[in-house]
Amino acid sequence: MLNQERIILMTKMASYEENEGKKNNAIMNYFRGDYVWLQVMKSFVCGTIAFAVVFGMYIFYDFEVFMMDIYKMDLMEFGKSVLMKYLLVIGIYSIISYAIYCYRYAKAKNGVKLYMNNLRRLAGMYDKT
Amino acid sequence: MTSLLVAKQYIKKFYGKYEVYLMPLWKFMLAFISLMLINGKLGFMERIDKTTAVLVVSLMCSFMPMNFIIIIAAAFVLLHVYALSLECAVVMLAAFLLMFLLYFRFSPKDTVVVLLTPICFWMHIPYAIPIAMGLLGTPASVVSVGCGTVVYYLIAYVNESTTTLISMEAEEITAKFRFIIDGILDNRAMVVTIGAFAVTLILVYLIRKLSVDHSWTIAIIAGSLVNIMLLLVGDLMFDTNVAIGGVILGTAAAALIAVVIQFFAFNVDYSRTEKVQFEDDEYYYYVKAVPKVTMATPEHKVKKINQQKKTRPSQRSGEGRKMGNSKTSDQ
Repeated sequence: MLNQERIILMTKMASYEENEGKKNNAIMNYFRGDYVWLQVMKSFVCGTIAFAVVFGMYIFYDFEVFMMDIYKMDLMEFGKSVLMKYLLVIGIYSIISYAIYCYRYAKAKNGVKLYMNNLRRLAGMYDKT
Repeated sequence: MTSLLVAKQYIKKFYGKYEVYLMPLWKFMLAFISLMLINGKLGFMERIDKTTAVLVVSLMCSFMPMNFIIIIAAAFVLLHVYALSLECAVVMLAAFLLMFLLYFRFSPKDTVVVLLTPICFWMHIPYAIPIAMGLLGTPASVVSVGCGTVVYYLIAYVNESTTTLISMEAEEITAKFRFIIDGILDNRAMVVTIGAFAVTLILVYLIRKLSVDHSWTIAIIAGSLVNIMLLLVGDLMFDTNVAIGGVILGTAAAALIAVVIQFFAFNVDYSRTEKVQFEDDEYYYYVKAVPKVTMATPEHKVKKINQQKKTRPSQRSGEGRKMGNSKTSDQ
């Protein structure tokens, strides 16, 4: 016998599994700490490459002046100021990506929780019949 | 009015049914239009400045994910600019890298906006983008609209400076490099435009989120007025030489486009026809879920549900019998 209520619930769950479910499961395969740490590490690498690109452009912009000044200026001071700016930029970018990926993990967990509730409801429907 | 709503229903039903075929067609058209426009505006590399090359690449794009179109468009821009000047290409590449590394890590879905913004600028309807994204997107779309605007102004600057760059062939790399970077950083029109678009987008988003009647219409009107105001104020303060008539006409066109978007997108949980398969102990299920298209006005909605409820039970049991029959006949 075909139970319409069960079929509707199973259809909705199958549709979730095909679309949102795949993304949510990929996220939920990790523990929260591991997932967020991994994504923040990726952001760290991307941020470092971006900073290197901007720094390269900055050096190349005044390349001749820079080459002339390189023997006159205090390299330690210059290095320190570049490092401070790098740490500031990377710090802000890491904090933003930490917040975003914590939010995404919470959303994925919610989606999986709803799916599990539906699964329990479905199991209950089978037990009744 | 009713005929418009009926037409809207029909279009949505048609789209929901044939989305599988319409998506590749839409991707092909987007790729074709954007690559033809890029070739038209830049066109320095003759090998890719041909309709046949564009057609072949667009056909390829229609079967790939949406982000592939963005990468191809960026590649075309870089190739054209490389044919003009290596330093230009380096600056463009740096700009694209910064955009992709810093922002599109978080929202790969927004990359279409980066492609649509320059296209709308070239079609003289740039102000449609912040209003449309305010209606359809989130405040985070400000970054993608900004990136799209930067791409447009970069390409426009390269276009303007073609003769200067060609005449600077003999000069040193650093001189050319400095010329390009100065041109971009000193571009006040770009900064004012990005600022105006950002404020417009956030304002439209905030107003349409309010739970008042006609919030979308108010958002469109407010967004258009704020956009005109900010661009004119920016012109007064920073001397960006914006054509006032062009701004007003462009914003009016943008408002019209936004009204069309509102007509189609307002209050809709868009769903498409889905085919799913699952099994339990007794049956294999092959289910096709077709979205119900509901009207905006309550009276019509009631009519539709009543009518459909009368036919659904017999339809459903008919289908159930059919599925059972097909299973036995297969066995």
